[in-house]
Amino acid sequence: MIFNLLFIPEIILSIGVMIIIVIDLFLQSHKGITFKFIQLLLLLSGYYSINGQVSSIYQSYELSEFLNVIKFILLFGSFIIFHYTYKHLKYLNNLKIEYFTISILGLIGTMIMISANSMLMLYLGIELLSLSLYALIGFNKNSSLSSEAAIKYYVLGAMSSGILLFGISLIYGFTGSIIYSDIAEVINATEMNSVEYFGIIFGIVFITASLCFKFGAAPFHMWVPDIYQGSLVSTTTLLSTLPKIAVFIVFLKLYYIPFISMKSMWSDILLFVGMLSIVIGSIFALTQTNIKRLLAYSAISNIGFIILALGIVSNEGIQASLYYTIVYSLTALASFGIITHITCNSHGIEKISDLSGLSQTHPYYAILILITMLSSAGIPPMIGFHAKLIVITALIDSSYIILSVIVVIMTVISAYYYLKIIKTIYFDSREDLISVYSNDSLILSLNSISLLILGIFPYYLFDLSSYLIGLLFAISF
Amino acid sequence: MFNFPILSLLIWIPILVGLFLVISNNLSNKLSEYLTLIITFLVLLLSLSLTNNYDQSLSQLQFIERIEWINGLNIFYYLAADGISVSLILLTAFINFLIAIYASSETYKNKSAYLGYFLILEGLLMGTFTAFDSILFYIFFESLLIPLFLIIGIWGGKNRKYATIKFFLYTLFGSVLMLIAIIYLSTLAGSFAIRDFYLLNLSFEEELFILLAFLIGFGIKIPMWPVHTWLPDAHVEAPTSGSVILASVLLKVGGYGMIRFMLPITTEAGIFLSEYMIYLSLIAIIYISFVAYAQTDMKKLIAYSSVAHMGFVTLGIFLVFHLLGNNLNAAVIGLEGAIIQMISHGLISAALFFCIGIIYKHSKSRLLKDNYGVVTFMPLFSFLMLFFLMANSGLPGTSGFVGEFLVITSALGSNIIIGFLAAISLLLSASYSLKLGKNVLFGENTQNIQGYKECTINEKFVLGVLVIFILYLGLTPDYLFKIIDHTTINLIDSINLGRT
Repeated sequence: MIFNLLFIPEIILSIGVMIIIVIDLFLQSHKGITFKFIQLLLLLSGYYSINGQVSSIYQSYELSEFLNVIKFILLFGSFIIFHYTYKHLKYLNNLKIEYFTISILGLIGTMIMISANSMLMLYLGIELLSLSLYALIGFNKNSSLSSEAAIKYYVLGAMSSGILLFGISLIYGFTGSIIYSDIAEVINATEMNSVEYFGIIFGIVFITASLCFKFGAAPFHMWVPDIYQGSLVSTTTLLSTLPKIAVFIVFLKLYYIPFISMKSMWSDILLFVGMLSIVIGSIFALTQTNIKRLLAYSAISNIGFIILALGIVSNEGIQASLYYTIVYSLTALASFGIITHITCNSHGIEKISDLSGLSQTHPYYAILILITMLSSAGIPPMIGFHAKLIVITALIDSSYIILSVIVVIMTVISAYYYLKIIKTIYFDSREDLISVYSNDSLILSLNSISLLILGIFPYYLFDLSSYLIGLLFAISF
Repeated sequence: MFNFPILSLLIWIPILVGLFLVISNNLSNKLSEYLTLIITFLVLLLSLSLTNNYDQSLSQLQFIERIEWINGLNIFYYLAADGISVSLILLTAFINFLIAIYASSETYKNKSAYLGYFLILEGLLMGTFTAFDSILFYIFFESLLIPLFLIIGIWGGKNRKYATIKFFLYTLFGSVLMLIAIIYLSTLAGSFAIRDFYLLNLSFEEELFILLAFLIGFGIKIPMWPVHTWLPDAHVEAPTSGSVILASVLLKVGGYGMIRFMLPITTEAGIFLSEYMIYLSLIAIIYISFVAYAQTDMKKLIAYSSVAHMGFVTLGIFLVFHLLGNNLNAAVIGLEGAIIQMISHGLISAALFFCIGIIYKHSKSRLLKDNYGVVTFMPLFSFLMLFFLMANSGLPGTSGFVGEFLVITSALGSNIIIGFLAAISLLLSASYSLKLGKNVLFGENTQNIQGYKECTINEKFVLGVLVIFILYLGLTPDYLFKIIDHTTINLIDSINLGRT
């Protein structure tokens, strides 16, 4: 019985998924009811995760207060994503409950990833997540772009999983363990420049490469724009939030717990990957005309900020990266959420020019996009500014002045394409029909306006992230 | 005596009402006009009472509001005012009130949003002039871009898309470098309060880089030659009220920032570079005056004239560096001249942009060649515009004279050649101002242009009030002097003490 109590959020979701599949068989014409059940499932699971137990099972699965909060954030995020998705799929006449069951399996994958305390458990979580993402990306069967994206992600994802396994096996080979805490002890005791030392470095490099691929950071970013463009907007929303949060937590737990004594090795790698992502994300986005590709590059540059902050290896850096991750997820949810709400000529928004003249037809949605884009561009008083401010402060605190100058110049460059979207909405005039197919935009409004409100009162999130970091390191060290 | 948070009210009343106007889309035009008028008038009254309650005999900060904002990063919601802030707050409130009067007789699409953005802009400007925490200052400083971007972009002219994006990126580029300087200073000082930065002992190299960052940031905003090119574009495309607020208040943010940050923080590096910065200012004054003379577009002409006049402001500020140590009196005179020039230019350029807006409304063209012989149709208007043009060229008795006179006096105190070159500009500004007047007001109406009509009552009121204040400041500048005197003297003294 105790075993049950420990895993309760994951168990609710797993059993719920099976029940949903059965319910869906009998309620084919009442998908709304099934969807209500799914929402209930998420709420229930969220409730138990925030009030969850704290323990670790056989050292390989961790249930800590920190992870409970993160799980709650993941569940909360998926609640919003599912809300957007349901409306979007309904509009496209493509509403299938399977979409949600697969998404929930992916969600369970992310929860396993962050709870993992051993390399194999981590691999299991990543695979569960990836498998459901392959299916979700290819969900739009009628679109050739979607199938292409699914195959591309499948092939590349399989390769990156292979690289991850190779890295894990190197670590296992040279440390003799797959449990994080054991690895930490062995690495601590390893002598500099011994054979084991180099072996472990190789292992870390391979794991980094694979995680950066899952993160979508440059130079492993090639898949991101294609997959974002090919899949449904709702899938893109999911892709740009849940896996990023989970991979970030994995980064935090792997690099700051078992690999911390090798920090001189991986900190430079992360700084390099972060800078490269920011530069590539900012510059390559300039010429994009497809809004999903543009947001994909924007995601790459945001991921760059997170990795950069992780690479600083200081308390401020960790806190900045967590803060940035939360802010980025909120912003990504809002920006993709708006796209799921708007259609142009009765198809979804594809090109940026599809949005032109939105301010005249739908001024309220125009204001929501304005807030979201300004937040992404890091213009105060939106929350995006504070996120960038904290990362840059952490950089300067650790005397990376040159890096911070490059980062802010890239911010200016990236401001150009966010401005281009605002320009399209506010200054261009309308040629064809644009419509908003949902009057119920309460959650979307709350989501977007929170970017402004949190920007004026940024200390709430700031306190939350410092509290979380306090929890993580109070337990781990 | 003064217990309620007047500075916060000055900031948040216009911002909140402005947001309400922007979001409420179907508000009737009449209602939004009255609301804007009432709010701007209220803000004007508040800022007048602020001025009355400001103790001119004290040099320290007054009306302080200081609450912890982001405790993890040591950022405070720290508002206060000194003489320089008070004078600029008065200018902002006054100009915004005039804009509200002027705009209420105009027609715009979606007028409530238009007026709302102006109210937001007003509140943000108040915040910029009163923030004494550097991050708070930066947030207000940067947020200014958003409403102005939308005002020019939505209600602007043909080429507005290019102009807005150029303007936004230019100023953003300058300010992000400034942000790095601010964060760097804060890591040394352990706090973001601007006053704490004054106490730092920076090495010369550090000062040099920080000075350059500030120079780029504020130099683009003010704007200095050679980073002024965004200004004529933005002015030409902006609607009349947008040009007015841009020229009369937004440019002053750059000058204000230089006085607040550059002078006290980077004194040594400033002294080292002062000669070159003075050259830049002189180029702005002389070369840009010639450029202004060559313009064929009325708005561009006044825009370049603004750049030239802001050259006096930067000259006055940089002369302080030059004069520190050998002639403190001249330094004080230079700085006071710069501040008075800011206020006076705020009034005169606002008046001229209003005038051009009125002409444009009738002739639908801003080009000199399309506007002739206005005087036969609009005699009263022509008289007023001629007065403003004279004030623009620094006619004694108008406020334009006082600031330029003080800056030139201070320049003569440092170097006769700098003084001479600065004085030349009086000649140049007279030539382009009179050229504009001669062509537009008195030129022979060869193309037989019709359709000019005498000003409406609102326009007469706006221009008349501006005439009164320009004359008042020109004849008795004492009122303004009293407000800024102790602050400037104290500033110069503390800089000088900090050096020795």
